[in-house]
Amino acid sequence: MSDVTNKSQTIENPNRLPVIDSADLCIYSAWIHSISKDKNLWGDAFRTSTLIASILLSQQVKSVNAIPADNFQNYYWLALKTQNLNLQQSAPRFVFPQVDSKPISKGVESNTKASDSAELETIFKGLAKNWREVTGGYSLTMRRYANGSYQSILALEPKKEVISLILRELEQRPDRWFEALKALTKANPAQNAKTFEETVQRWVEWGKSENYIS
Amino acid sequence: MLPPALVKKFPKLPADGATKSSDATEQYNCIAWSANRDKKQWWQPIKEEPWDYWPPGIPVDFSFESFVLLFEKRGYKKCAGSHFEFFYKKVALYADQDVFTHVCDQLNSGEWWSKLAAYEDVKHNSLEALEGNTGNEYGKVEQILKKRCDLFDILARTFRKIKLRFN
Repeated sequence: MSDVTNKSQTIENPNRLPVIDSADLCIYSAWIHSISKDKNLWGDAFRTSTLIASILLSQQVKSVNAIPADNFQNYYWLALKTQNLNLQQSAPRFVFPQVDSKPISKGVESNTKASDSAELETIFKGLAKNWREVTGGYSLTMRRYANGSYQSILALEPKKEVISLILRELEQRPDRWFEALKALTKANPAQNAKTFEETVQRWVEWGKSENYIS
Repeated sequence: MLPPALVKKFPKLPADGATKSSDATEQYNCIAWSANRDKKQWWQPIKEEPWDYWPPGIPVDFSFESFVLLFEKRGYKKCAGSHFEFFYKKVALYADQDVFTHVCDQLNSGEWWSKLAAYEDVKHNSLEALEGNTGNEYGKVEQILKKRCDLFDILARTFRKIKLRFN
């Protein structure tokens, strides 16, 4: 996994991982069957399954390379495993809010910064709500982290503002944001906390002391 | 009375006659509750926070079999039916596409007791109440396990039976 760590520093949405659909499989199967008629060395079924398995394996290897580094390298297996579950259970999918894409003029720089922050907050709140609603019933937190909305939050920029938004969300609606915070801040002020509430409290206090929230 | 937000996530609960038995908390999950009535730890294979816990000797590979093994190490044995048996207590493990999703345990009354992840605890009459693929439902019951009741449970069940006879 160390190679993967060096290669990738960003969090990719697991829903973007390559997937072979049934149409692809039909094409592969048809192609293999056409070869098998010419050469007739092994049984059709065996040949078909080995080639499909090797294709799937190569796709999985590519997927692993696209999986995030740092704390999330442990999550790749579950992200792959639960990919279909998340797709099913998150329906209807989250739709990004419409963002006004007018060109930015230099004269209104301060207003632009404010509107960028507002847009980031809108996007964050939408993703956080979606994540909470879709994954709130999961008993294993790794399944929650494999969700696309959660990973999209980790990919948002600028990081400092995202940390502030997460800490404010944590203060208002306590939830399992700790792994995201650890990944973004490289800190863990709650490493000796005994309860969920204490963990939340320590992160909020840390956020205030580091001027992320007031 | 079930909270509306919970009903939205588990739409079959009202028809089942399920009742809420505690407030929502993120301190413990269904595995902690059904395996050990633990209200202080969140049981899961990877320890992220100091209050996360996973019993020693159980693989951390997230496979469904590991969750079955967790209960087997606590004296449960695989069985077929979810019906109430006087001398046995049972647990039901749910899975969705072979991924473990939930566990609940049978009470002396025959009801099932579920801690719904970070949501409330509920008592429900059937295992089907949490089955499905909409909302936050847990797929389907993949494995039932049972173990002999201890003396306290047998006494409780006996008193309950006597009480029901005289009512």
